[in-house]
Amino acid sequence: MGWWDRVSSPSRRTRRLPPRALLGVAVVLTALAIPLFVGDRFWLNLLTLSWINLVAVLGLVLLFGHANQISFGHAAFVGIGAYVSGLATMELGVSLLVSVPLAMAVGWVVGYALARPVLRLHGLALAMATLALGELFFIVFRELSITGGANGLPGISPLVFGPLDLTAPEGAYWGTLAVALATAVLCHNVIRSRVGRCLRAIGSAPTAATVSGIDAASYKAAIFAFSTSLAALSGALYAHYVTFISSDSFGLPLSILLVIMVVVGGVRSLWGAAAATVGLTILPGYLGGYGEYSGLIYGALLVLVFMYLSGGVAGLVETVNQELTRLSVPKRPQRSTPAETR
Amino acid sequence: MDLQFLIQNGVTGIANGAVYALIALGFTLTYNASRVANFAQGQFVVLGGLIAITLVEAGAPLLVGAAASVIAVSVIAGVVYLATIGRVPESDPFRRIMVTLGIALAAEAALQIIWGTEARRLPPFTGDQPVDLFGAAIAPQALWVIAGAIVAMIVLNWFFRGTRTGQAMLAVSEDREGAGLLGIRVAWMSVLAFVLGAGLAAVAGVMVSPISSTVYFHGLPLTVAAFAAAVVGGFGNPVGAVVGGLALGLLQAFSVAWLPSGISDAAPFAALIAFLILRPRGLVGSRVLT
Repeated sequence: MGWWDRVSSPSRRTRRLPPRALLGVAVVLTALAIPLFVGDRFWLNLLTLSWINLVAVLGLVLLFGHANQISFGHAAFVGIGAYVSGLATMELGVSLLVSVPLAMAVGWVVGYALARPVLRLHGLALAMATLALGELFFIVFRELSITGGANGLPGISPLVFGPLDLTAPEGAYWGTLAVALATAVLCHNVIRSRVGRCLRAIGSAPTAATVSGIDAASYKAAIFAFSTSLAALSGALYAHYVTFISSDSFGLPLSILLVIMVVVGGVRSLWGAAAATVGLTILPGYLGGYGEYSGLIYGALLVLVFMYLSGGVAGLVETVNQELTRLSVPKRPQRSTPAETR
Repeated sequence: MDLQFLIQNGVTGIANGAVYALIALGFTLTYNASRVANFAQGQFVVLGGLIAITLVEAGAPLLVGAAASVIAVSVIAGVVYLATIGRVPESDPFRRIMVTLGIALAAEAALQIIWGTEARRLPPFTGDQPVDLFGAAIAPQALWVIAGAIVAMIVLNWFFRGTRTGQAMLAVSEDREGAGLLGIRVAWMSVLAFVLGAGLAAVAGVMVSPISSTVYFHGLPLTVAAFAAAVVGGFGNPVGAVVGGLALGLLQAFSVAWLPSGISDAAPFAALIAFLILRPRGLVGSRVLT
């Protein structure tokens, strides 16, 4: 629950800010203030990359956590965003104000076109079909001459949105954080809207949803396109932030990492996904020269989460919170959290 | 398109296809009897190859190294299954799949940490001298792979038709509750099926190492190839896994011959998507994957 509850549902009676909202505000303020205290460019860079990843991860939370449609191919759409926006600024000379929305539009259109046939599949078949799609796009990125393939595409325009110059490390940090926050608010509103409820209906009981008059195929295609569009936005930000991209960045490892971030966060939780994304993105920074151990940790996390902690970070915090509530207020019967707010 | 070209690429394709068929067969047997779609199947192939290479480099005879490697991989797979996948409720196949994906990632990192990033190669079983077949030069190892796969399939056929354990495993694949009511230990059969799948993967890993070398990152592509083979043939059908593996191997061999080198990599992925969407029952036919 956050302040935007009030905006989206004005009928709610005014009351004191709940502790959770205060916590949310505190976390956002801390995130905003980090560049004032962390002068180290190394950590600032990893945190900026976290916000860029988060944009793609939030879209996957809706697709996977709410509509229950898995994708092991979203790196392809991150790549599409990166190449479309990067090449548009280089070849056509347009501003980022044009190229980034263009990348999102291309991500949406390609995602929508593919979703119609592919999302007829379920479960394992869907997982493998999206994985294969991702690999096909990876091969396209690698083999096309205009993308520079594995050798890479250097000299992409830096993060300058018209008059807004975000090339300084702090500027890039605040810029990408702002985009991630805006995405989070958007996703939060979608989750709490009629669309979000329809997605959960499709995710948990597709037949019942269809019988209730929900056009499941259209909703699934739309949410897939929404998530691929966000993946493309993430890719475009990445391209202009790093100013050099190569096809190796947009393969299966990224697709799998995005899914891990979603499931470690708790699948349905936006802020859980945010915590997981930041934690897993800055993890290699702690490992230093032992980069190969990151795979070991990602794999072990995935095993542990699915063995013991299906709710991920969000579920863990929820459990701890309930235990604390139970301990501090032993007499009063505990109010169960409605499913909608998770 | 002359005969020599056809034979050359045909044998290469069938040899690759035999490897895919073995891996896909292991994947299918595991899936049928334990309802685990094992994403770590490819890592077992690589592990089998690397253990055999290490033993042979340490001076062990080829046959001993190969046998020890297959046994070691089977034991490791059994331990991993009991420690992780086996503890996740059967009623939740998605959680089990994600656990195997986690195992695949961790195993790949472990393979890199233990064996490094250098591609290693087992010596060919009977030298490098090509065999002449109607003017086409065939690597003897390709013939070994094909023969090895045929032997493995005959042994499997005997196991499923001629032994009580094999029959029990088939019964579990057919009807879990019914098999349990008959006194078959279903959970134990799941472990055995997983171990059998990993053992087949290790056999494939030992046989293919002299042809394509072995390095830590080969695992995931092999898993995808095995899955593609299973889908192309008919998911859940052992005959389908073999047919699909051979079809995929031939498709790959001829696309390498006809298409530019980078683009030919796309063939198995394209086949996988095309079959999933257009013909989910596969070539031989079976249940539709859900």
